[in-house]
Formats: sequence, structure tokens, C-alpha cells
Amino acid sequence: MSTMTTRLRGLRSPARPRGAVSPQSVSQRIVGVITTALLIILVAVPLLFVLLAAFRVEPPGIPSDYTLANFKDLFHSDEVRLFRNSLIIGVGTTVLGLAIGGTLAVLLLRSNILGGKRLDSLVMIPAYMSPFMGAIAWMILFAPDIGYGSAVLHKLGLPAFDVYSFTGIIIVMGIYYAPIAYLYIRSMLANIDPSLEESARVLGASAKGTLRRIVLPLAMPAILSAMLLVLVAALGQFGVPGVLGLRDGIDVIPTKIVQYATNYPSQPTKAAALGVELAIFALVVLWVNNLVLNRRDYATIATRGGRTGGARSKSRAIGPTILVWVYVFFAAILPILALLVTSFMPYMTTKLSSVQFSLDNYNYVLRVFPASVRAIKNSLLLALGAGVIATAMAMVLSHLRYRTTSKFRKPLDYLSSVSAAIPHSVIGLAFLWTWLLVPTVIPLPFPIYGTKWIILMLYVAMHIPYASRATNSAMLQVDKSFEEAGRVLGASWLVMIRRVSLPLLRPGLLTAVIIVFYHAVRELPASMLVVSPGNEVLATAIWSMYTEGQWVKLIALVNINLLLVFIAVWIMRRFGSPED
Amino acid sequence: MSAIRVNRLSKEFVGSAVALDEVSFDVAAGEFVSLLGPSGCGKTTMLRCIAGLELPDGGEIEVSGKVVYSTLGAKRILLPPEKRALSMVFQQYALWPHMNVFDNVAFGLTMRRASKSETEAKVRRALESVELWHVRDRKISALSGGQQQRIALARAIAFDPDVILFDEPLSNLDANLRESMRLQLIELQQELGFAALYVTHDQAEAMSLSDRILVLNGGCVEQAAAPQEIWNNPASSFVAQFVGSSNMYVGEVRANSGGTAVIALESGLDVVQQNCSAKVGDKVDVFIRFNDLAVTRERPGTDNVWEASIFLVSYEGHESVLKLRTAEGMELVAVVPSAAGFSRDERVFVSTAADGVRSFVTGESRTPPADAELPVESAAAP
Repeated sequence: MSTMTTRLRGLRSPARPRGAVSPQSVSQRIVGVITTALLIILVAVPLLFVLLAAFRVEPPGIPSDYTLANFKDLFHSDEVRLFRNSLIIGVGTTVLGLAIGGTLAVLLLRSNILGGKRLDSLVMIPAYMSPFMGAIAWMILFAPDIGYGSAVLHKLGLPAFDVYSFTGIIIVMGIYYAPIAYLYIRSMLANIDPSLEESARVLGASAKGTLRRIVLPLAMPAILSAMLLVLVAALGQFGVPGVLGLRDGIDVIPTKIVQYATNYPSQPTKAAALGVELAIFALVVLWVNNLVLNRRDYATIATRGGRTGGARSKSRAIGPTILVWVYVFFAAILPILALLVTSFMPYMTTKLSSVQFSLDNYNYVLRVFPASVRAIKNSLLLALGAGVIATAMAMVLSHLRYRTTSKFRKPLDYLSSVSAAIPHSVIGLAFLWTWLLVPTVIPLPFPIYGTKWIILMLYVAMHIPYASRATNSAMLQVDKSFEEAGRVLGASWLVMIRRVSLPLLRPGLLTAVIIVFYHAVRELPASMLVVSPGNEVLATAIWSMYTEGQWVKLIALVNINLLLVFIAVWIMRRFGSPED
Repeated sequence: MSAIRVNRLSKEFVGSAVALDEVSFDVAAGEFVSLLGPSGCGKTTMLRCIAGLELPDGGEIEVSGKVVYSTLGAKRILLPPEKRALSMVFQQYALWPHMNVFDNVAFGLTMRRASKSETEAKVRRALESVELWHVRDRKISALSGGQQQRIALARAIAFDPDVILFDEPLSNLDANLRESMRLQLIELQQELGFAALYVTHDQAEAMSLSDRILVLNGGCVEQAAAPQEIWNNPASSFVAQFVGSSNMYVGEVRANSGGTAVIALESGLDVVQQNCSAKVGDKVDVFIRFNDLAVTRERPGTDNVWEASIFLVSYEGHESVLKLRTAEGMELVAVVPSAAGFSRDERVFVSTAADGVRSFVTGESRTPPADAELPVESAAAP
């Protein structure tokens, strides 16, 4: 019958319309154009060249016809075996990694674990170690006859475990990819409003029932996403099958790519074709992942202004605590201990009482062996340089993305994230081809191929997605009104960036630099394809020492590499913004 | 010279209902003007366009006599925010957490390359005017919300701007603080004499602060007038609804002799209105403010009297809100002094004088803005 106007006093303040951002200034445009040009040279050009290379008849340097012949091996029994091996290892790793990572996430976030906060950091240690270093550690633990673990198994009368096998590769990769799945599922679980679970409990569901009916369905997109990401990463993994597989003839696509490209006589066109196949597969998987993510509405999971962090059970959980410690023991404590002990020994043996421990190996890699000395210097310089450059570019891109309505935002987004999907061996190959081919077309004022520049550019191109993720989340945490206030009060765009944005973003930028640093400083397959004598980096030096059989000495170098990673991560955790 | 002149400004958002549609208005030097409207009416967009934080689709903006944006002239003009000689107070304050209070307030002066002694003196004056000179060395995070609000104000006034934009600056404060900040703001504006354009959705705030209020609805100016005028003579159904709390009914004009009209309401009851411009037969929206209804136990002698029973009493201290229902089923809300002591289920008389009733022809809610006399052609494109 009658209506009544409501009292307006209590109305909430309106949200600012989305996508409303300031017009761009000239300096902003110039910086944007330079970054875009760099991104095209570093990412788009090499990917185009490797695609081109896959259809070439001749290696670089010789004028060539184009052919489909490089792809005909796809159905050849040799390559079918490769794909089968890759798939067995990829799927096995995904299943194991997800099982471990998912269990860890649920245990750490939903049960009342003793020392919860500290355990959360310990669980991340394997992620910083890298699968390659993990494989080396597990090799000295479980190599038949000479591994410490094998000796223990033998003493206990248990059946021997051969790490040089599919099982060995899958276990090592599962353990070292578990943190990826853990991080993904953890952040999803942490964002679920506890009231969603509390209400299920109040309405009569048990803790297990709540997990099954509420938590798992909500976490499903994250689980699926983690699954696909681990699969793609595992398919591109070179180091683990390289260390644990090649000895017994278990080869996978990335190891074959490297062999094609580096073994005499090299077959770079075949490598390119194989690389293109792998890259296409990876891109398709990640495209499916995006479809999955876009279908679900994440916004509904966290209630507005609500609490996050999920509902923890109140009673102390002894069982889960032990389970998490078992993982930490096998993934971090035991391997690191084995690496440490072995690095002080003159030769590998399980009879610890009979050897003389010394610092000889460290002396050798730090002072005597020129290649390892150079590698340490080069890796530090290149990884740090790549960190700074990638972060600077990522910051410009994040700024474009969140603070402007530029129509180039979408393509730039793709371009800056695509290299995360491309297996490292393929990116390395792409750089190899590009900088061999470019000088035949345009004379360069200075050489790129065979210098440190190609490694630096490679590291920037490979890791810009990591830097972007860090700068994006930093940019989102700094409200744009801080920058707007600077402009309105009289600062030009450049002055505003220097006086307002940079200081506010500093922790996020530091995190970005370090994430790139610790990834680059341990990178192996791509580096292998572009290093040259005199320009070795840590991982390639470790690999050469491995192929030369300098066992205990290479372990000293692995430990130095690990130490660099851990120092960087410590700095990030102490001074940077949280990594996610 | 106007402090701000906005001429036929348009701005559309893709995928949003908010759109400014050729809005024109000006703010005189030293004048305090509020943009009042519900969320999504375009008021914040308007403010951000003037500040240079958003790009309009077309029109012209002048700040202190200088064209800062124009698509109307032969040459397209777009000045960046820092070249617009204005200042702004943000809704979330936007105080930089990496600078202390002093450096925040000094920012505008630093950007204008003021000397050290001048900066010191002006920052001091600004901080003293909000009584916060003593916290100058503190970190922003160490301040309360009210203090941050005042620092944001000090930062905006420190470099003596002629024009200051306010984007709902008091909306994050609790009610008591808001009240006292309002008074402080008026005092400051009168003392310093800057022109202010103030965006708010709070009618009480707009009323108490402004020399003039622009009521915005759906990207258009519904009414531009002094607060008293807006309150006493709302120009449209929308303004009547938005300003003050009213009972709203739908009816039809039955008779109108010299402005005194009889309107038949849907409930079947009649209501008499003075100064009614609607014609006989017009469908109208009828508004009666809660405060304009008198509730008595004896039958009063005014124009509109209805018998009703009270079915809800909500005590609010000095006043009480009553909900009443007539035998015909018409519901009314009235705000009465609590001292009258009405209780539930009491049968009473509800009444209002004929000048307490307002009506607007249904569907004709939009009236031309009062300051539409702007010389629009002045800078028109060839």
C-alpha cells in the first residue's frame, strides 16, 4: 500500500568504480614502451625463432629450406618411448607431489600442530633446494652399495631401494615438487572464511565430514590447478632424470633436447622440434588450468571483511605433527645432512669411521679449480643482475596493469607470464637458436652468443613471471590513492614513482629480486645450452663435475650453491614482503 | 573568476551504470560546494575528473581560471594532476606510511620547491591549525583515525591552495568525531578562504558544511541550491526522497484551485497540499516528512488529519519514532518528542498542515539544473 523512504544516514560509502585510473603521462609512456620492447626481444623473439628452427633443414649459420621432417620422429618408436617415460614420471610425480603437498596443507592449516608456524617454514626448505640438488642428495643416500641409506636398509635386512629407477626419480621429484602443491592448496585453505566451516560444525557435521563436504569442494579448483602446474613442471624437469635416469637409460624429453643440442654431432633442428612439441603440450595444460580457474568464483569463498585462516581443531595433534616431521626429515634434514657429511670426505664411502674429514673439497672448488671459481662469481653476478632487471621490468608491467587502462595490458600480461609455461630446456634452446641466427640477419655491434650477456638475458626472460607475480601482489597491497595523492599534491609521474611508489613497494621489490635470484642461481638445463667455456655458472659446473665423476668435490659446490640460496631466502623472509 | 568551472562534462564507464551526462556547474572563489548523491551517482567520478585522476570523455574543466581539460576548443587540452593547482583530501586519507607526519604535510611544499624556512613555517601553521603540531615526528601508523584525518587535512592546506577537493573525507570516522570534524572544517575554510568541492552521500554533512549543494542522481544534477532551499523546496521527487526522511505515497490530483490541491492517495484517503503545480488528473508522488507529522490525542484543526493506531514505538532518546496505521490501511512514520509518552496500540490523530505536503508528477523527477545559465557556447568547438 504505502512505501517509505529509508533513512540514508547509515548508508555505506560507495565503492569507487573499477578500472578508473588516471591518464598516462609522457614519461610513463616512454618507460612503458622501453619495457615492452625489452619484453618482446627477450621473450617473443626467441620463442618465434625456436618455432622457426623446428621447421629448418640446416643448423644455424647455413641458409636453409623449411620442412616438416623434424616432426616425423614424433611417431617413431624412439620418441614414443621418450614421451612414455616423460608421462610416467610426470604423472607419478604429480600424484605423489599432490598427495604429499595436499596432506601437508591440510595438516598444517586444519589441525593443531605442535610448532605450527616453524614447521610451515621447514616444509618450504625442499622448495628452495631445487629437485636437482635433491636428486644429488638422494643419490648419495640411496645409490646401490655406496649410499648411506642403502647401507642402513641392508643392515636392517630390508629390501634394497635403487634410486636409479623410475621409482627413484618419481619419489625424489614428488618430494621436491610437493611444496608447490602445498603452497597452492595452503593459500586456498587459508583464505576460506572459518565461519563457512564453523557453520557446518554447528549444523552437525563432524571434523572429517566438514573437511569432505566443505573444505575439499572449496579447495578443488586450487587442487586441480596445483595438479596441472606440477605436471607441467615435472615434464620439463631435466636435473632429476639427468642425475638418476640417464645412467640406466631412462631418458625424458628435456634430457633428449639437451642431448640433441649438445652431443656431437648436434641436431639442433630436431631439438627444436622436440622442444616445440613439449612447449605446446605445456601451454595446452596451462590453458586448461586457466579455464578451470575462471569457471569458479573465488570471491565467494572469503566472506567480505570476514576472518580468514580456516577453522582449526582445538586439541593437540600428535599424529599429524609426526607426519609433517617425517616429510621434513626425508626432504630436508636427511639430504642436507648427507650433503654436509659427504662434502668433508675424500671419497664416497659408507664406512664413516675409516675416513679423514677435511676441508679439501671446499678448498678445491673455491680456490683451485678455475671452472668452479668462475662459476660461483658468474652465478652471483648474473642471478643478481637478472633479479634487478626482471624486477624493474615487472614493476613497470604491474604498474601498467593496475594503474592504467592501457589497451596493451592484456598482451603484455601474456607475454610476461608465458615463459613460466615453457620448459627451461626449450627456453635455453630458443636463446641458442636466436643468438646464433640473429647475427646472420642483422650484424650486431658486439657478440651475444658465447658471452655472459646471453645468460643474463636468458635469466631475465625465464624468471620475469616470478618477478611479476611478486610485484603484482605488492602493487595490489599499496592502494592507488597513495600515488594519486602524490600527483595531486604536485609530483610528476617520475617524482611520484621515486618518492611514493618505490619506498612503499620496497619489500615487494626485494622479494621479487630474491625470488629471481634463487631460481636463477640454481638453474641448470637452459644454462647448459647457452654457457661457453669461461662463462660457466654454478649448476653447469656441478653438472660437468658430475659427468667427470668428481663426486665429493661437486657436493662441496652443491653446498655452496645451497648456502647462497638459503642466505637469499633468509634476506627475503627478514626484509621482504611474504612470498606467495 | 570561478575557482572551478565544469562545462558539459561527460564520462561513461564500460559495463557500469554510472555516467556523467554533460554536467555543468561552477564553484566561486572561497565558496564551499557539496556534491551530494547516493552511491553510483557519479559524484566521486566528477571529483576525480577535476583532479586529473580520471579521463573524462568530453567537456571542459577550468581550475582557478586555467583550462585544465578541454575537448570543446580547437585544441585538446589535458593537464596532469600536478599541473592543476589544486589540492585534495582522500577518503582513505592516503597518508604515506613511509614518511613521518611532518614530511607528509611538507610534500606539497617540497614539490613546489619552497625554501626550508618557508616549508617549516607553513607545515607548522597547518599542523597547528588542526592542533597536531606535537605529533610531527610520529609515524603515520602511530596515529588514531581521527588524527590521520586531521593530518590529511593539514597536508591538503599546507601549501595554500585556492581549491581543495574532498572525497568523502569524514566517512571513515565514527559519528561523534565526524560531528566535531565538520565544525573544524568550516572554521578552517572560513579562516583560509579556499574554495571547496566536497563529495558526500551524507545529507546532514552536506547541509551543515556547504554554501551550496549540488544533488547528483544518475550522472545528472537534480538540484543546485543553498542548503535551506534544498531542504525547504526540493526540486524533484528524487531530492525530496533523498533529503530528509519522508513517508512516500502514490496519488492522483483530484482538484487544484490556485495551487491548493486535493490529492487522492492509493489508500483511498485524501491529502491537501499547498503550492501544488500539478494539474488535475496528474499522477503524483507525495512526500510527507517524518518530522512534519504531528501526533496528538485530541483532534487538531489542521488541513490533513487522520485517525490511526500506533503499532510500533522505537525510543531514540530525545525523540521517538512511531509507526501508525489508519483504518484504511495507510501506514505512516512520525518522529515525535519522547516526552509525549505514546505507547503501542494507542489510538491517536496524525496530522500535517497543507504546506507540509510535497508532490511531484510521477516520472518527471528530473528538473533542469538551477545554474544552467552558464555560457555554454563560449569555448565551443568549430
